[in-house]
Amino acid sequence: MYSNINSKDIINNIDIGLIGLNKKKEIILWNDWLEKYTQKSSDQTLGKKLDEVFPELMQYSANSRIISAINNALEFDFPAVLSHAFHKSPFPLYLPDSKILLQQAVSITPLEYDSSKSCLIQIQDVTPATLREKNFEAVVQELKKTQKALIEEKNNAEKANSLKSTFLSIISHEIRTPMNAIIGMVHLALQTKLSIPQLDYLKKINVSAHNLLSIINDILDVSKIEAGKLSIETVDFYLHDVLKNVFTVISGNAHQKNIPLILDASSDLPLMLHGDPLRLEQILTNLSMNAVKFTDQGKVVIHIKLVNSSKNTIDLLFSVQDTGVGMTHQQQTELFIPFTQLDSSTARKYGGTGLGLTICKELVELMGGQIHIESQLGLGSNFYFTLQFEKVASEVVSGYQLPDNLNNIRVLIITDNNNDKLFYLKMLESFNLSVDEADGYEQGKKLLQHAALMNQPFHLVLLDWQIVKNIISFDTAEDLTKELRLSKEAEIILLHSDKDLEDILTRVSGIDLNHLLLKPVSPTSLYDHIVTLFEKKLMDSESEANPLKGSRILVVDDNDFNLQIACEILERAGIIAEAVSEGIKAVELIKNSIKLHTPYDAVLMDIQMPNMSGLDATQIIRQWEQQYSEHKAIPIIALSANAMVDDADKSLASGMNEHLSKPINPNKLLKSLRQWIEIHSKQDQDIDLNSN
Amino acid sequence: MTNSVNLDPLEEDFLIEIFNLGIGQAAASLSMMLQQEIEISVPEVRFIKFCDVSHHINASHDICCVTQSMESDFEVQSMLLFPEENSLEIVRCLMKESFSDEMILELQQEAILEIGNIVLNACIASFSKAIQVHFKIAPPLFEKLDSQNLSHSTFDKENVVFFVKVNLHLSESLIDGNVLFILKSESMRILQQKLHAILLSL
Amino acid sequence: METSKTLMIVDDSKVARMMTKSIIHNAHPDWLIVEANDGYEAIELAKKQAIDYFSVDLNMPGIEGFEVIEKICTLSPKAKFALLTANIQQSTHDKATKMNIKCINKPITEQSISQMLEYFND
Repeated sequence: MYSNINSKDIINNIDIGLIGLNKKKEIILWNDWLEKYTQKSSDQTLGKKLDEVFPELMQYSANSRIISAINNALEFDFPAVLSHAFHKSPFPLYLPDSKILLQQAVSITPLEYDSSKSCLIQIQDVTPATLREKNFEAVVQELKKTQKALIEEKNNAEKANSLKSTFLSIISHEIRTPMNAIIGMVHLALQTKLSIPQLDYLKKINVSAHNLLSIINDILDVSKIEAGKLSIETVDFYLHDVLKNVFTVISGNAHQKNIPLILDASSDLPLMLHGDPLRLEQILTNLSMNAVKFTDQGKVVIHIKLVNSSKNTIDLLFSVQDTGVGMTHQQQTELFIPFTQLDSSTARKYGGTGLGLTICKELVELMGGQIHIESQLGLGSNFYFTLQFEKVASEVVSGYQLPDNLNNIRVLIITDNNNDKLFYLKMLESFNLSVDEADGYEQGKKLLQHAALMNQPFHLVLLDWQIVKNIISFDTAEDLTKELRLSKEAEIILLHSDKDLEDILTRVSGIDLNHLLLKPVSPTSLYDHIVTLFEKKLMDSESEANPLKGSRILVVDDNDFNLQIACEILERAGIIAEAVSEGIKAVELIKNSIKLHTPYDAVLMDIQMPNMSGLDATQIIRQWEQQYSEHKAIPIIALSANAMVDDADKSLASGMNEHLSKPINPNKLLKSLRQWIEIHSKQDQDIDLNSN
Repeated sequence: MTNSVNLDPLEEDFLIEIFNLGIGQAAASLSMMLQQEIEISVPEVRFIKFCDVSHHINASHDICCVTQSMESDFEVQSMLLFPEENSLEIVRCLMKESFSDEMILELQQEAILEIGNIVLNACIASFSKAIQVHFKIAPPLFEKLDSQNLSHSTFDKENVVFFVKVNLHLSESLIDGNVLFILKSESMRILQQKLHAILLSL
Repeated sequence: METSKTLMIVDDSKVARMMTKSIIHNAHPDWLIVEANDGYEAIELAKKQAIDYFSVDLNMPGIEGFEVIEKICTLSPKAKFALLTANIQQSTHDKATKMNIKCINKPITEQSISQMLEYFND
């Protein structure tokens, strides 16, 4: 069927070199392909011996294979296939006009020709294939190198990471101690009489110190998360305490940038929840901090909504929405990688460790939720998550039970914000106080007049600054008291937003911070304010009733600043504070005080101290007391920078009565001291009675 | 191994000597081609049935196989088998340059093909000279076979196999090579006659 | 004048021995030809009788050819050795030359055996 085709044409057009050899190894076939690569025409080669045409063939022993293959073909009819792998270029064939040897794949087939033995040598050009292989090989080698480097890098990174975690947890503790001193000192300074600029400076120091502390905490948390050591606490807490703290931390920044920070909490939220308040606060603070950071115009709103409520649990949707720079989709996906800022220029412009969001994500997940982002470049972002909390059966926590003598306080709330009002009502009622409400200033004034007439005066007025700031003018706090026709004993608390603070401080001279309450108001802050305002009065009038006055307390801390802070807080409450900086000395002092029957009323004990830790010191004291003391165990309260739950457990296990974490919260500290000294003196009396 | 093939000891001895020569020749060719010394063990020659071949090969994985069929007045299928893992080793130690595993795989087939071609041609040459038969020989073919199931469509389980086991020491590596000459029963009879005639003439 | 010689063929292949023997016998019908199946047998036989020439196969089970020759050399220092081998690699030849042994390539043919005899009779 191919008879029309001239076989010569095929031989000369085929892309394979063909050499025919007769028994005497004389060339009997030489196609055009060979002419192309040898520059020798068939006229020059036909009839010649192969080794005449290719003398090179005989020169290299490596070519013995091709010679023997040809011999075998001519002698024994053996076909042979020569691998390019072993014989790259057996024939001296060059690419036209170049010195580049052709890479060849050769096969030899025995043939019968003119009834005598002959053979056909086929040569294929595999140069391109070889080149491809070479290139491929280079790529593979490169990939291998890269892979090796990557593995090494990964190993190094893992090692470095674990070192980093250890280092960070050590260093953060080291930083925390001086930070606590700074925060404590600022707290004390804030309570002294200050000029407006001083107040401003100190407040800014306070905010910065807290920011720094939170960064340190972030770092510590990340190292804990990475080490899988972060645990979630479950305690009863006031939701608004959390919010209050968030606002306290953020408001400075928000105020500085003139970004209103708004809380949009629906009124059906419970006052109390059961869960981890610190972690919730951390998440909201981080998200809000970011929101403020990336917003230059508009506002930041924290929404909290009740989405589901069952018999025992409650699901809350939290969202932090801003009108900031927003993010592209790509950026959103890279958001939660540790130490990754959206780009390095972001870090330069906005600062921050890039840890915040990573922590948020981890924490939300640890608490059983999932964090989501909605964001549009240039329009803003919305971070939201739903968390489930356990319901708290009774909304009154023992800690917020007002002292008996404060139970008859009558409170009036004046605000036009219904949502807020409902919330204040709820809070105050949970304190067991009787509360009235007014929607506006005029109505409030009427109620106050009426109460005064009925001889049932209000003792406390919660007044929303928003209502009065444009209506009335007054220069001093007394003016305001007069304006409201309150008795001298009555107290006013101005509820204000952060941006109004300066306005208030300039317009109402002599007003002290106990009369100012930053919104959002939390149960704790409100409670603290009430207790501070009225207890001061009570203490002044009936100092005998203050169980702390005149009591002797030993403060043990290796850090001088901390000692000073603690002592000042105590002394301000009329306590005689003694300071000692070593565990061993503390043990001696306590033993002596007991031996001399003048035991300290309580001990505040730092945990981490050189030579003898607070835990060890406490254990020694407790053992000694059991053997030698006829008095009841001295109340020992841990004051420690170690804020983890298990740290508290360790303290209690060593025999301490309570574990308070630094920075010192004066109200908490005094409350705790009061509680323990009361219990202790009562027990001691019992002992005395028994022994009599 | 029982002699399932009914060769008398002298015939067997003769065949062993033929394969010895063939392997020796092959080693010489390889040595010259690769310019390195190749140590070879004394080949073990067995006569077995085709169905037993897989028991005699130390291979857990696939097997690389080069076949060349030979034809005259009887037919022989010659095969060289390497365990797959071993064959990669061969290629690696034969390469002058260092190549990646991927590259070795690419070259495996043609390198094995050529080695097979050399070894088989040497064995065939020795065989053909010794029994004074001229064979028509087909070009070598490369195949990969399953070690557990060496079934081959052209062969019957009962076909006779001259099974030659030889260890080649190339550079640092030890390689298990297995040369098989497979004869159908009809061919076996013809071969036996020829062997007999030659031995008688000695 | 040529005297009658004793020659030992050491080869594990009986056919090889037969072929070698028949060729030598044709050339020197008066020679005594001793056969050994392997190296051990060869050494034992060499201890018992004086042998002039040895034709030794290289590849044998047990003791390989070079070692056999080394051992017998100490017994019969005057003997001449030919290594008959299928291992025709250059390295083998080099080693043989070093040991002053004639190396003959198998297969056994009249041509290869006459090479060996030439060496022995030299």
